[in-house]
Amino acid sequence: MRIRSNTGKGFAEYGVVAMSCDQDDEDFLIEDEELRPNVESSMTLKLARVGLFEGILSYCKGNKIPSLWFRFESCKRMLEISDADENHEIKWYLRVEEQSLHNLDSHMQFDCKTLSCAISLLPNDSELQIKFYPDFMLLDVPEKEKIFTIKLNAKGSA
Amino acid sequence: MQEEISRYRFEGKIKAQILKQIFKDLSPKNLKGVDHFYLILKKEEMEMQFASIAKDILITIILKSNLFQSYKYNMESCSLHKYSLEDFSALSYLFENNKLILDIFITN
Repeated sequence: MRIRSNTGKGFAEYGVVAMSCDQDDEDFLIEDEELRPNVESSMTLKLARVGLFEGILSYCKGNKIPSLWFRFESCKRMLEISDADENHEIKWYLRVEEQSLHNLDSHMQFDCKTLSCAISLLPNDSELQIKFYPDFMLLDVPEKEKIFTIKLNAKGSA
Repeated sequence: MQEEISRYRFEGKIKAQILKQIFKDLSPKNLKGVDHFYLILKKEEMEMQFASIAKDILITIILKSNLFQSYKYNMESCSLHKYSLEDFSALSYLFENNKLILDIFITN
């Protein structure tokens, strides 16, 4: 890969050599290909701000909580986030601005460190759109503030 | 010019800020056990998959073609490329001006 930028007074060029891919890499990624979004089985929630996760993730870091469980609580219209699938010690409820359900009602577990990395890539003050699929979620911000879409694989689901 | 483009499997223009942000926040320090990433090129999007040594995909960044100022991928099927994460840590320092537009070329 070559990356080149024009600085106005010349240009800088940076070259990176690719590592070799073996059959294992290809098999592994082809397997993941099967987990592509399936509209028939998904759930979309909109939260007011990406920053709503800040306090939760900071609590998890301080208390060494390795993962969080996510579930949409349809009666309360809240996104329920807890430290355990059952016998939780703490639970947070985030107000959902908009929702759209398509045959998906699952409780999914995500790694806190990875979640924290993902959230730090998004603008803090933007609305956050979360799309849940059977084994992963997509994190997105509105088109005008679009940076990229982030896909996080779930550790487990119930 | 036509010849130049056809040599490349991928040619794109993107803001330096976008690539810098990805490689600054998804450093090996933050994503333990990750020392490489896979780049999957497709007609309409580029995917970066950060996987652990144990081959768990930890995080995937999907850059749709409309995030690029220009996006040209001259293959019919998708292609897989693997890069060391360490090689990209220098990006944050190399292109300090966030407003710069980077040209990316991938061959092989």
